[in-house]
Amino acid sequence: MNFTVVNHNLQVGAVKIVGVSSSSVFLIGDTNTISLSSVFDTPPESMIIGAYVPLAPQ
Amino acid sequence: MISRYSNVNTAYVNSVGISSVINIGDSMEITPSVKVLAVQREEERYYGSEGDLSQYEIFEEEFPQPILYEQVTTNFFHKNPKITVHTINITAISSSAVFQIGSTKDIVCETRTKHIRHFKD
Repeated sequence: MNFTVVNHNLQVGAVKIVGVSSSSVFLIGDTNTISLSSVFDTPPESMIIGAYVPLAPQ
Repeated sequence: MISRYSNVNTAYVNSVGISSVINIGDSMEITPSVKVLAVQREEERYYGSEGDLSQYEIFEEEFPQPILYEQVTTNFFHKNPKITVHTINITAISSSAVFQIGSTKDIVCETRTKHIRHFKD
């Protein structure tokens, strides 16, 4: 597959961002590859009701 | 690919958090990664021995990657080789985030978060 890009003017006044988080990118420029991965695990059993015991002790 | 110039007048970032990057200028490779065990307890309690991440599968399993079926041939023409942004205001970047003014080759970010809430009986 042939992929052609023609870049003309790119001019931005103001950018306001509250948060860039968990494998995110804010890029003013060019790049070849971006690979962003994020996993978030909060299953039902991740809510524990009971006496405090150390979690995953070493 | 020949990269464009990046032109930013003002940039303000309030805070940079865990395993994040601010880069002004060009780079070849940025690969931040972080493993987070986030425990919220009903009352403050911290055991120093906690946090053997290998006991949770989420910190070991592989990320699924896209399968590329065909070769892509790219052509870039920069009629105006400049990216201009006057003002940037960011409150926070965190958890393997990247903010770059400039060009790069590869960015690979990984975040794994295990979230546990712990209430008293």
